[in-house]
Amino acid sequence: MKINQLKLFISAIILIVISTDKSLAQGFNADNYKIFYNFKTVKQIDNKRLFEVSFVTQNAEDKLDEMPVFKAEIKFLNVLGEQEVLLGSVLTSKDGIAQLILPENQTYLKDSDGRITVRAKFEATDALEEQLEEISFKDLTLEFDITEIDSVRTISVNAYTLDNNGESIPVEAADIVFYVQGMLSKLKIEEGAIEQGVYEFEYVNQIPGDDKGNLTFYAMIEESDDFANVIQMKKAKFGTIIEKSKMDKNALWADAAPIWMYIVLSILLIGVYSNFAYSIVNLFKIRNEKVEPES
Amino acid sequence: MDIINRKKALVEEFSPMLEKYSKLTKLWIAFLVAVIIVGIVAFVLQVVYGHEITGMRDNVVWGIYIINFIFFVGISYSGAFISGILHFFKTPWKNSISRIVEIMTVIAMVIGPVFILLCIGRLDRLHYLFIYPRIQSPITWDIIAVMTDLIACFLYLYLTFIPDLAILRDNSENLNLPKWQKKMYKFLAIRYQDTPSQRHRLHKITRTMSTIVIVLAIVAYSVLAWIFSLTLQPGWNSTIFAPNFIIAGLYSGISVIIISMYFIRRQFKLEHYIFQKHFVIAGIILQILALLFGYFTFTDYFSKWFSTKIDDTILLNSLFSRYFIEFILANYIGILVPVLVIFFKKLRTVKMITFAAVIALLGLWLNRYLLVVPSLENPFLPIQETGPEYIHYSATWIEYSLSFTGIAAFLLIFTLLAKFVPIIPMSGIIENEEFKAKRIQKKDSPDEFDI
Repeated sequence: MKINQLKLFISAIILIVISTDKSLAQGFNADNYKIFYNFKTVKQIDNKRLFEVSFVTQNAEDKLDEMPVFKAEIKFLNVLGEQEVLLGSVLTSKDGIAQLILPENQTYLKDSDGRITVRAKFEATDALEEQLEEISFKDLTLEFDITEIDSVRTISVNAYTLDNNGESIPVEAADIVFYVQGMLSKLKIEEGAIEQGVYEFEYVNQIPGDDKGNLTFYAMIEESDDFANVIQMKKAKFGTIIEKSKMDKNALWADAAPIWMYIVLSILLIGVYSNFAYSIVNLFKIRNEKVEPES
Repeated sequence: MDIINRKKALVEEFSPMLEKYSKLTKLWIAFLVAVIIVGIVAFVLQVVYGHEITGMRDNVVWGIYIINFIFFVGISYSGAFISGILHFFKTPWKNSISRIVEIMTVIAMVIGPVFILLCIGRLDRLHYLFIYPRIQSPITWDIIAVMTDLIACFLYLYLTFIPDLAILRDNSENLNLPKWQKKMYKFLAIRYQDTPSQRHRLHKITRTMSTIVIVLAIVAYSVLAWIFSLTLQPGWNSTIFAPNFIIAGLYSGISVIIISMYFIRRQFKLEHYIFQKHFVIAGIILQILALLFGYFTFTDYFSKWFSTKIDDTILLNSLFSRYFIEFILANYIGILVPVLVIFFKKLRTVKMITFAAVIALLGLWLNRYLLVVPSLENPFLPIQETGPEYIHYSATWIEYSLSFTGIAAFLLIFTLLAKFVPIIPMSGIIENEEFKAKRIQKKDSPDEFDI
């Protein structure tokens, strides 16, 4: 009877374990998963343009259960009306990321306003539906400048686009944020709006730099409807130089002994040797004491 | 009480100790001299051929010489400490053992530092220690401490000798002693006549010196411990080393006192001066020190084991593998035997207490061995491309010979000093008798331990 109870108990435990273990649960079913398909573009500090698609699925019931879509082919197409030009085709990584980087001198199809439209397309498979995302932006050039004149530190940007003739057109308005690179993340130091292609401010912060006082500054236009993402970076010796903290070395390893050591040792030795001298003096007194011999 | 006649009687009583060299004593001295001669030969060989003929190498740069140094100096410091305590607190039964302790203190202090000289590869540069001392170094502290303590011990021993030297000076006309010895009594007694003022003055400086000697013993042995513990060497870098050394020194010191008491009592037939009670008291002190020493040793090893630092772990592994037998003998047998012997009342005989003291002494020497050698065999940076003799230490006959020479020299000087002054202070006997007479006059009962 007891053995049967034990068997029943063990079977129950096994059943519980099996039913709670996701590894043994039913296979992947796209119906249970929400699809997140995001597309963005960033003009990087070397003026190359990055197109990036993030293709991730999330369990509708358990939001912690995220599953990237691996080896999904993403086609990046430059679109203008009915025209489509394939910019490149990339497979997603294990993290569900597909990245396409195009050089600075890449030519795009542009509309009359100079806008570029790029489409990121995933064609349908047996398991997943077709995904499509499109972004439209103007190709903005951001010139980042840092100067120091008469101890006045100035940070400025010059933002413009190029028309079909190659003439620069200053940006009328765009939000811009300035950061300083910290050890782990970027520290926001200024936020404003570019007007007539220019934004300028005086740098007055006291931020520690590296051992040579260097700071890395970033000027970033983030998720702009007109310009998408643009990043520029520059280094300048605007950091407060922090002197390396000098470790207090063990004084006894130094060339000269600390003064307290001489004092303490001298006091101790003088005390002890004075006592020796005192004893010897008393011995002489004993020796020189005039006494009658015992009779 | 006729003090003059009592002094004469005491000199007569102790005269066989001073005058006669029995055949056994002569043989004993000859044996010790022979051991010393072999040691001198070994020393000459070591100077000529260098440390190559010892077991010491690049890894284990300190061998049994340093162990002997710690051991002898420990005996000396503990002797000074015990003697100082006996004098300072005017312990009633001190007279029976005080001279043994004082002599032991001075001889051990003379012999101990000689071993450190044997460790030095370039003796020709020894004077650099004095010309270019580095005051931050514990080695320099130790030199200062040892020299100061040596002076203190000599002075202290001499102060305790003076009353007896005066008695011998005044009563040795009829003794069959060499002329130089009688002249020495006269010279060293510095016209001491035991007048009240002289006695008062002598007692005053002896008591002060006993205090100094206690303090110096603690300071000097702590400094010796710091030579080890202020390094980062695995097994040495311990905050508990200084008190541990002091307890270990006292433990070895009381052991030597018990062993000396046994042989002196037996050789000079001093059963009416050194009672079984003295052994029992010394045995109880031995037991307490064994427990304390065991506690300190356990604490030291336990913290090393618990911290699981890789170097300490390697060291402890070697102690429990390669040195397992020595570890058991040193830290179990060497501690438990003295504790158990004194614990059982039936075992508290003179022989058994002496046996316990011998075990304690040997155990402690082994403990010092385990302190020095395995630590040096496990350095932070292992040396490369060397033979096993570089990695593991084993002493050669040169080192053993010089070690036995140290022991022989200790015994020889002890034997000769026991021929120079009585091993039981005569002045102390008279003082005790005077004290007893005064108490009887006051119809008080005499102290149990007065002799």
